Amino acid sequence: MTLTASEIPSLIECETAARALYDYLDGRLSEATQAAVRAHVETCSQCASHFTFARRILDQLPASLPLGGVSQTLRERIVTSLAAEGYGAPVQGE
Amino acid sequence: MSYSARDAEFDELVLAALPHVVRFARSLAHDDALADDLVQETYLRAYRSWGTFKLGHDARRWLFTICRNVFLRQRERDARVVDTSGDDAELESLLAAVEHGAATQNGTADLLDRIEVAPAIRAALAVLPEVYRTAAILVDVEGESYEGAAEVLGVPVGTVRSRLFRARRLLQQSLYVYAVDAGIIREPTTAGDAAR
Repeated sequence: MTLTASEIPSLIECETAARALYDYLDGRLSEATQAAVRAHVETCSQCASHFTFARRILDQLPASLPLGGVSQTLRERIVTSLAAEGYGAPVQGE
Repeated sequence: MSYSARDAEFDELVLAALPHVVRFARSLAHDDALADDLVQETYLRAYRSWGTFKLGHDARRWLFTICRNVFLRQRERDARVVDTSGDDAELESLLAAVEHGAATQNGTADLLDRIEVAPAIRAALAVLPEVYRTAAILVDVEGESYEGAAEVLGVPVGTVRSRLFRARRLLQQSLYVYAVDAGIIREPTTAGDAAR
């Protein structure tokens, strides 16, 4: 039997949806389960509130730790320490 | 291979990843000076073992692995002994939802619009235990797959998943605390009060 979209939400309780929260947000559920959770969230205001909240946190995580510039001092320290290991040495025979 | 070709490959694949390694090291060390030491040591070890790196593999992931191993050794605190493999990842998701329900009753619906999110997240990440913080940094900040993070951490994918989900829940909790401390929302009621 094939379920219609309107029938799917009734199969998913809030607890089931909540347990699937992060797998759902990461897109790691099966296609059918992903659809069932999505359908539940679209009809449940409480779950929708939390899913949106969790999604927003995940979306803002990368921006909270932006890639900073690397100081010239650090670059020079690294190159100096690598040079002691042979980095940047002239090619033999040239 | 001539040294210059070796160095050119190292430059292209390894030195190019320096900003990412710096960010990762800072997330581990919480101190810029210590992080710089960690990055320097990471690159030194990477250069020494460059001959063992297989071209075509993910150099950034390889550097993260070295960086974390150096960090753990320097700290003399091998966080790998923290075994969370038995944790229930789905339960972490459920608890996050229940806690959100409790907090919602206290005016958190628009919490993220009422706080400066970036500093709040940075503060929350900083106090996470290392095993959870690293999972979140690798997957949620660096964009690694669960499988890639598992490779860096040397743990099964299921362990990455459980650590990641706990990290996210703890992060969410910290944001509530941050908002309470700032007087933006009232103290959340207990999770049990909000259980549906």
